[in-house]
Amino acid sequence: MVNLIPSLVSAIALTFVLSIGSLPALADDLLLYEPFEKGAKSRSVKLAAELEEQFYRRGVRFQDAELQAILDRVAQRVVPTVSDSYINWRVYMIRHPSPRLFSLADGQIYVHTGLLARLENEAQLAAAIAHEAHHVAAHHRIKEEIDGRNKDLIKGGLTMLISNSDGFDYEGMAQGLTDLSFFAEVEFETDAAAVALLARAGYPPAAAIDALNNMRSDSKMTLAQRKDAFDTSGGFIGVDDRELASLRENPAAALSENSEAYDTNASLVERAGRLQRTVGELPNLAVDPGIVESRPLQLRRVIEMTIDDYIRLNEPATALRLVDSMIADQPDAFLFSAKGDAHLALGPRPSIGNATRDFKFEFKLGPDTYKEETAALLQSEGGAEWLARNLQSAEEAYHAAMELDASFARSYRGLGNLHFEQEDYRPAGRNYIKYLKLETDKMERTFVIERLQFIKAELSKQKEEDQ
Amino acid sequence: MIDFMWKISKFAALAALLLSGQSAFAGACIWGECSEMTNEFRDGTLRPKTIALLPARTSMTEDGVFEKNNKVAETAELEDKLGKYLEAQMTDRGYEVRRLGFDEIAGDQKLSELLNAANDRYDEEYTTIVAFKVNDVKNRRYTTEEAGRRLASYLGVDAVAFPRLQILGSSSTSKFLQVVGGSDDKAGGIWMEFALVHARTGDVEAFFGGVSKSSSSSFGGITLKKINKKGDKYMKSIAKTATKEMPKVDETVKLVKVDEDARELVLHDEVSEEDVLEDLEGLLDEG
Repeated sequence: MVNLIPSLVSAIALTFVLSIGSLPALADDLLLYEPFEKGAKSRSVKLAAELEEQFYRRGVRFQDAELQAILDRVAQRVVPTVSDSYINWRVYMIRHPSPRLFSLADGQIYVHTGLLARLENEAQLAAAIAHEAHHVAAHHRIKEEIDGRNKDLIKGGLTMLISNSDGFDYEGMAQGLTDLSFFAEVEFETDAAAVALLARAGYPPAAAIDALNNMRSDSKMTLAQRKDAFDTSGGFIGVDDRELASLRENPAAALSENSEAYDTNASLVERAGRLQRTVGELPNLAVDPGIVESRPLQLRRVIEMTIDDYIRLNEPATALRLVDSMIADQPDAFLFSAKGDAHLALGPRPSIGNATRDFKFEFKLGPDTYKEETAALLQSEGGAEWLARNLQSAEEAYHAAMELDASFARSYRGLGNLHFEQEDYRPAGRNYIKYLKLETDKMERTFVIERLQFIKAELSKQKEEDQ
Repeated sequence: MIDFMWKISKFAALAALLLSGQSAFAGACIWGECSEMTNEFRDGTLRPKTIALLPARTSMTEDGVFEKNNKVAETAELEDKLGKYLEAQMTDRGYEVRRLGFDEIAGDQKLSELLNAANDRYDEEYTTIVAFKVNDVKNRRYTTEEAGRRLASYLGVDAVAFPRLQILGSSSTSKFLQVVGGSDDKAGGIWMEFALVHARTGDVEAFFGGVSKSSSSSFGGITLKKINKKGDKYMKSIAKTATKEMPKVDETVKLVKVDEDARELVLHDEVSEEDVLEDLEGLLDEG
């Protein structure tokens, strides 16, 4: 995918004639950032400083000098100038496969590695950063805090007067209204401002639409994870408002539900539609083709990391989706090998859509583990069929990887795992031995040696029994 | 009978927590201490000698009159105290403890990646454990798979301890209103649990937890101010409570084959790579 970036970006860039035009009045207004000195003493700014220290101390930040240089360069170009003493721009990375980013009130912007893995070019990265930069420059978080506090006072007064005598959840209702009204309006405004910031920095404004569309290829996040993500920062792009509302209406039900969100994120769809209109209304703007055409991101490592993170976090369907989108543009041994791993991890789950289990009434507190869910799905209608299909797809993918690069160790380990899971120990052992001849990492070798130790014991036992 | 009464008590406490809307803060242990371990941990087969003690993942919330505020900076000091007392408790039982500090983590990119991966994987299991399924630890229900094993291997230890600390306290104003009857009573307390994940299995082999200063009624919960002021005392107390049932290190037992029928549990004495590969290719070709 990354290799096609220049041509994609060229197509975008060609839609903008290189003539100097001014931004529409609306956009100009949006970029007039008044100082808000009251914010210096806000809880949001205090919390931001504390989080920055804690994120650093706990090793939450992901470090990569090459990527950091790109982020810094793009941020420097796209963030607005502000006069607030407490805003100091810096961009950090967090290793997480979901396509998100968020900002804190004092100018910190955190980009997930999963977002970097999905962005197709520098202009889209600029769009994402511009969006968060506007949240910061317009003091959204701080204003939300003050606005929320005022509403809390009214809500608190109501609650104390009525004392929930009719059992109605005023608190929950007021909280939901506070957050959701803020969220929807502000996100639309911020999208428009990001377009203006992009244009001012010489990036094609249409990149903002592409960035939003890429974020729609969301991870299989549970609502619980979405809620946590939202609560941490409040500034995430991509939280589905309807899901958030349902979460607040009935947290117990929503939190126990696993939902796949592929292309169903209504708020992102609506926002992309609105942006399309905004960009369409812009006059022809100056775009520096050098910026967008010549520097595809050096993101290969992040893409591989994101795919592996999804598999590790038991979200193989999302990993597969990402792999397939990459393979279409740039087939190689890693991607085919990862495709095999994703199919293997899917087991009895369908590779598309939601897995369903046979209904069986049982009283349960809390979710099953992934292993238990796998066992239950295997007993469900279609489970065995999906397992067979996934195993076959995995085997095909590993062989495709070997054809592309016979010295890529991971393919042999994957094929070994596939046979091992089926208790087919001889082919498993042969593939593991091939893997060991290619792999030098001691830790990784240890896991395979343990499996070979087991295989040896099993085969010796079989031999004794045969004799 | 006592066991039955204990279950009733646990259920009553659970109900009180749920009704007071604090279920998110309720850990696996309702009150007092709780501990569960696999048979192999109990009999010493999979009991570690060296343990890496990770910094606790903490949530600390102040329950105000109208809103809840998450605290960040205040957690670090309590985590440090908790780590110190957990280390002391484990050391007293004969374990060799390597307590990981924030500086060490922040200064080692590989370590922070492995640690975050293992923590994230453990948290997936933890959501099930805290849904009051702590008993299933003894059935080896929970695993961090290779993520936990990689971290343990990198640190060169037999097991990794994953502590989780949850603190909920009222604000001073809220507490005052609760006392004078201007507000409903609010729950509060300190919950702490840690799992021990063995390097050889990646499974949660043991789980220990404790509750301190828990309250769900009677003039409100404890204030966060008090928790911070007496943090040292509370952390010492909760570390002691949680490790009450933790057995001493067992120097005599070696890792041996445990169970031939359960593949995940077939463990052998460590042998060299050469020993494993010797004659293996011949065996593979015989089929």
